[in-house]
Amino acid sequence: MYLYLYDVFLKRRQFERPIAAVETRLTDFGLSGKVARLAAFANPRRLVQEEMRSGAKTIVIVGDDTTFAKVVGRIADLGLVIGWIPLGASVKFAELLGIPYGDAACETLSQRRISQIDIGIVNGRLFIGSVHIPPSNFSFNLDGQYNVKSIDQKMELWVANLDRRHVLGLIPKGAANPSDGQLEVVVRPVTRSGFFGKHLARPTFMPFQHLTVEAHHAVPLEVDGITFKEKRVVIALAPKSLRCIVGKKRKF
Amino acid sequence: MSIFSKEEQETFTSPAETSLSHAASSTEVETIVGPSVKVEGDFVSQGNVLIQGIVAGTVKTERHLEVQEGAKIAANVRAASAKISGEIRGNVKVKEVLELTPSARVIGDVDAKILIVAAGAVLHGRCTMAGAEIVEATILKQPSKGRILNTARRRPTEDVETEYTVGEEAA
Repeated sequence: MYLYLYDVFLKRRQFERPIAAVETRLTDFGLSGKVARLAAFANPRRLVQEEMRSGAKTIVIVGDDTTFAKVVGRIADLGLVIGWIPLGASVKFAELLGIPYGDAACETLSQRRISQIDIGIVNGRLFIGSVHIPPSNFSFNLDGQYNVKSIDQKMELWVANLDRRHVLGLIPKGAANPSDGQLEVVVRPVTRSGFFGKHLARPTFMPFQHLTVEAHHAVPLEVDGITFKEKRVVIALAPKSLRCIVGKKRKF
Repeated sequence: MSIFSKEEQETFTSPAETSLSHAASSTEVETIVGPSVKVEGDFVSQGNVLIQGIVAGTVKTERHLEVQEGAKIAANVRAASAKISGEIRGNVKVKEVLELTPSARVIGDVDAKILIVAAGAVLHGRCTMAGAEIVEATILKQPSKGRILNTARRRPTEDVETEYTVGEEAA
């Protein structure tokens, strides 16, 4: 049974026609199910758990990148199959997953091509896109085996899983695969900074299962677009990967 | 016998070239240590490793290791094959090919199956290679016609001092 989770912004008038087209196609494919709307500050996990008791096995997220990351971050460990109908301004994740925009995604949903995607945990919070620490003073430990620090003090850190936009060109070709069973860290030390901005050194790239960042002062931490400040950051690969319906044109 | 037979046209490839080409073809680098980064601890990898920065501790990889010019390693190194252009202070053990380029400086013992040392490379330490035991056994098994190599034999003379003669045939 399918459960469709609609984001709040889809109530706007501009999305009336696309939503109607999606619902018509879903009916044509025989993929009808229950529809629920996400409240602005509510946690979708409880809603999904209630529907699981009613027999829901596939959750379909209807929204943009932020919707997808927010919902997946809450329910990825429940063992469900996740589908997505991308609607909204920013749908970069959908391109990576090979899911077309709007009602065309219904055909992808009907084909039910399921792929295992790695999920990361950062300080107890699940993430699917990326983790970013802007240039700051910190060092980190990988897999409890070795420490890494910058010779020139400040460095920038990326752990890119599904959202690899900011690290393309910095990583070896074919690396950072979101379904390879490991996470990868990209580090760029700041060699000099001045009036015209910072100059970053050539990147360091390392795969890992467990990473711990230690800093004397709290460093800014961006997780799937949401910013925190932490003195200690623990990033690890989640024990279970996400089972997600993907398209033929996925980028991995 | 045909001069242009197919068998004669086959090009001979030495074991060193085969190992080098294998290492070069597997260019999918799994780990890169960039130039402004320092790594301390037991650095272990399953794939190809490229080091441009500083590493202290131990470095182990199941595949190819490349240490670029300017990189410094204060560690014992183990790899399937390696190409060194930087500085290593530690022992290096390589299963297949160890190549030292002109800018390489290795202060420590090396152990490799095939060793390539370019002009200008610095290697200061003991060098152990597969096949050395075969050469030693060959020396010991020389046919004995009374000729024993590198053996000192005392020859009495009228002088008080005893002279030693090396390499002469036994009487």
